[in-house]
Parts: sequence; C-alpha cells; structure tokens
Amino acid sequence: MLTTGIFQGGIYALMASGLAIIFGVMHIINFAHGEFLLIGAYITYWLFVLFGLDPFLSIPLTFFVLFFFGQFVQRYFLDPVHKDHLFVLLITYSWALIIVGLMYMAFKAELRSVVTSYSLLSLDLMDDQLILNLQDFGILILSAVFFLLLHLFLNRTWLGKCMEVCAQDEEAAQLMGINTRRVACLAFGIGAAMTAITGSMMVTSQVFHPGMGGVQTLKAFTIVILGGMGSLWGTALGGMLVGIIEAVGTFFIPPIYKPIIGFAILLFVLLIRPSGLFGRKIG
Amino acid sequence: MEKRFKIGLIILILAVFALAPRFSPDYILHGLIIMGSFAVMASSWNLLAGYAGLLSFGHVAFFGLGAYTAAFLAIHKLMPFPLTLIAGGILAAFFASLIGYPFIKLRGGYFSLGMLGLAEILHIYFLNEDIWIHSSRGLNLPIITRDIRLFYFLMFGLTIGSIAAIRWLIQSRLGLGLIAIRENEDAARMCGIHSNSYLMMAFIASAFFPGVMGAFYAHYIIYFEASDVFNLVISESMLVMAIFGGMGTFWGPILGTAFIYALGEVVRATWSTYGHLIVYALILMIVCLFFPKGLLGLLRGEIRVPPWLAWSGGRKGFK
Repeated sequence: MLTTGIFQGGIYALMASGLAIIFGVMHIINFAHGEFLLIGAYITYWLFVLFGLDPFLSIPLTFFVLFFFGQFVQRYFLDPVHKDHLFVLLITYSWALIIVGLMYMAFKAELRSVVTSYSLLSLDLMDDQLILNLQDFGILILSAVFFLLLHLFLNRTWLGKCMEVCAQDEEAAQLMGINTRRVACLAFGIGAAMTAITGSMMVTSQVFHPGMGGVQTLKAFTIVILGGMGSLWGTALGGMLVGIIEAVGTFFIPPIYKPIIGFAILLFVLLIRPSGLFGRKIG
Repeated sequence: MEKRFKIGLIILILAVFALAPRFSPDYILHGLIIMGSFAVMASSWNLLAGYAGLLSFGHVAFFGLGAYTAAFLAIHKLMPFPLTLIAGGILAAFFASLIGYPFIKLRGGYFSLGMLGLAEILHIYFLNEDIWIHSSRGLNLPIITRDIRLFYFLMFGLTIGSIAAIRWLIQSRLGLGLIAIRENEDAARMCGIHSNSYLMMAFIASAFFPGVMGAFYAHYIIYFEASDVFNLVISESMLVMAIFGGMGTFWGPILGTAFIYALGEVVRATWSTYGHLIVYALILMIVCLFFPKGLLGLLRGEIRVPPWLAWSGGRKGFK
C-alpha cells in the first residue's frame, strides 16, 4: 500500500514540477495544467493505438509539442495581460475549458488507457509480501531522472539561473539585461512540456478521460502549495506526501471519497499555511 | 442618457417580460426562467468579484447547497414552498459565514483555487451521501404545480427583488467600502474601513442569492442529482456572463447574462452539446485580451490592443 502511494507520488511530483516552474517563476496560476497533462496523454494514446509506438518512446514528441504550445500560449495570450493577475487567471481558465470542450467533442467521454505487453510484469519481493509492478517502478525511476534533470537545468544552466532571477525580482533581472518576457515564455514552455511527459507516463498506469483535467490541476496546485512555492524539492516531497496520504487514507475512509482527500489537503494548506512547507513567504 | 428615458426603458422591458407568458411558448419561458436565475447569480458573483476583487471559481457550491436544503425541507414536508426558498438562501449564507473567515484572507488566485476545491468537495460529498438525505440516488421533490407560468412569475419577482437588493447593497456603504478595498486595501483600512468584516459581508451576501436560486431550481426541475446542481459549468457561466457584461458595474452582469445565455442556447441547439462551453471560453478569452472592462467598457471605447497586434509604435514581439 505504501508502495502504491510512492508510485503515485512519483507521478504526482513530476506532474507538479511543471506547475512549480510556471507558478514559481511567473507566479501564474495556470488553470489549464491538467489539460496540458491530458494533451500529452492523448498524444501518447493515439500514437500507441495507431502506430503501436511505445508510450515511453513518445515522451520526446509530447515534450516538444507542448513546449511549443506552452510558448504560444504565453506569448500571445498571457504576455499581453501579464501585469494583471486576474486576467492571466481567467485566460488560463478559458484555455482549460476550450481544451476540455474540444476533447469531449473529439474523443467522447470514454475511459481510455494504454496496456502494453509488459504492463503486468511484476517482481515478487519478500515472498509475496511486496509485489512491485516493473512498469510502475520504471516510471518512478524515470520521474526521478526527469526531476534531477530539471533540478540541474534550473541550477546549473544559464537559462535556469535566469529563471531563478526572474522569480526573485523581475525588475532587477531586466536591469541585468535579461529579456524577462522571453524567459517567461521559455519557462512556461518547459513547464507545459514537463506536464505533458507526465501525461505520457501516466497513461500506462491509470485510465483517463477528458473531464479529468480539473481534478489534476487542483492536485498539482495542492502539491506545489504544500511543498512551498519556488522550491523544487518541496514539490517533490509534496507529491510523495499527497500520494502516500491518499493511499493510506483510502484505508480509513470509503474509497468513493478518495478524491476528497486531495481537496481537503489543498484547503487545509491554503487556510493554515499558504506558504507551504519549504516556501518563501507569499503575498 | 436622460434619467427619465432610462426609467422608461426599464419599465418597458419589465412590461415585455411581464406579458411574455401571454404570447410565448413554454420553452421560451423555460429559457427566461433559467436566464433570470443566471442574471441573479451573475450579479451576486459580481458583488464579490467585481466589487471586492475576490474571483470565485466555485460559486456553484452555494447554488447546490440551496438546492439540497430546499429538497430536504420539501421532501420531509417541514416547510411550505415559499419558505424553503428563503431557507435555501439562509443556509448557503450561513455556510458562507462558517467557512468565510479563512477564505477572505486568501487573495487572488488562492481564493479562486480554494473556492474551486470547496465546490468539488461538496460535489463529491453529495454524490455519495447516503445517510441523511440520500442524495446519491438523486432526489425527487413533490410537485408544486405543472403550470410553467406560475414558476415564470415567481422567478420574475425573485429576479427583480434580488437584483434590487443587490443594487441597494452596491450603493450602500458596503459597496463603496468594497471598491475602496479592491483598489487599495491598506489605504481603505487607513480610512477606517474594517476590511475583514466588509469582505465577510460581501461573501455572505453573494452566497445568499445563489442559495435562493438553487432552492428555486430544485422545486422547478423536480428531479436532480449532485452532478446537476454542483456542475462547474454553472460557476463558469456566472463568471463569463458577469465578465462579458463588465465586472464591477451594476448593469454589466445583467446585460451579459442576456447576451451570453441566448448565444449559448443557440450554439447548443445548432452545433453540439459541448459547443457552448467552447464558445463561452472563447468569449472569455477575447474579453480578457481585447476589452477587459466588458461590454459596457467597450461601449465607452475602452479597448486593449495586445502588443502582437499593434501595427504602429509598439514593439514588434520580442527577441
């Protein structure tokens, strides 16, 4: 059960990492987050169904598609209103609705998932006491790898450091000759791309449908806010925590109420400590 | 416009609506009933968002609570029909006063997220609730009347009454105080406005009217499930209607409701069931990008041109 929580937590953490960048760098509340995830999921799904492409091999493609889509959204829709947070909120919200509406029209409200030839392979440890699904395990490792890459990107590359500077003080960054709007664009693109690859991985382990985005958006926010804004490792820990709390929680309350756990954590964190576990103070 | 002309226009429009049942078929009346309830909800949403600056994405929570209160009271025959409407509003307002204090401390997107989460929690709760009101199987209310015209006149009265009440709230000290808080909270507090209690009052007031509308809807529709009355599309519609008309104005949400609802119905009838969602979202996006003050702002000529559309003077994109 704990392992379920950890596996789920790994996916959650990766899902929230994209939002952590968007939220941490630009302080944008991106309501279309879950929908970006679903775009990734559907791309992977159709590639698998139509061409038999392995879900893990479609990761680079979804990364690039959403990287450019994210930049498009930021440049033409969010940048013109970036001084007004209210409108940024509303525009991402309307993107979410448009994507959901189009998905419902195109794919109907069917539950879908990808089952590969190796989905059911598992590893027995400790005489049936602990059964590890190899694919889930692989996803966990892969999430960790992506997380590490993201960490290296933010802390070791010039662009990543630019983002950090923009997050801390936009005006100072401009004075230092950083094109903050360009950086914001790239950050949004990378955030969207990270989300999409999570979608690609998620399709193998759980079912998805067009209406799922909103819940995932809220969950991602829960994790980022729980971990603390602008703290990547806080996000990782937050993802793990939410995954584990959900898995353990289903032990105590009926499983139909499981979705409530995530929202309850969100409300709890928002109301008790909006700066999260490791976050900077927020306004 | 001259004041006398304005009043005349309002009376004329009211007269048209009052006479509508004489010459329009039932489905038009149904549309007008729903439109009336959206006008009230968009106005009360606007009270919180337009005046206090707190954008709620989950106002449907109060609508649903009102609906369930009315259903519970009606099924167990605890109250006559008209009282259940008030009871729905009061319970929603009471709930708002219980949860309000921590919520109004949240600002900007955090408030929106919190409200969205709240609405979803209530949705899931009522979707599975099977102890007191057995809402998981859907609720059947006793039938008040089969005559839609009765509901129409009731809704007509409720809409006028609620909108007049909201008008009064906007023009009272509360409305002015809320504008001051929205513009600059610290300055408002310096001037002796107790921002927390003002925001609380706005929150409670804007919960009351959706509660009444929810109670009305429950009686009107007779059978409903949690997914009908906690449908996030309702929050979204309120939001789009108020923003399209013009946030922070009295007439904005009312005009917006008339336009958006009519458009939504046409799209739903001609294109697709999900079509109106996409159209709503597109309108929201266009309004946010090009005329942030809504329709009323557009009439006054307030237009924003995004940098990538500016053909002269502006910076051409960015490298």
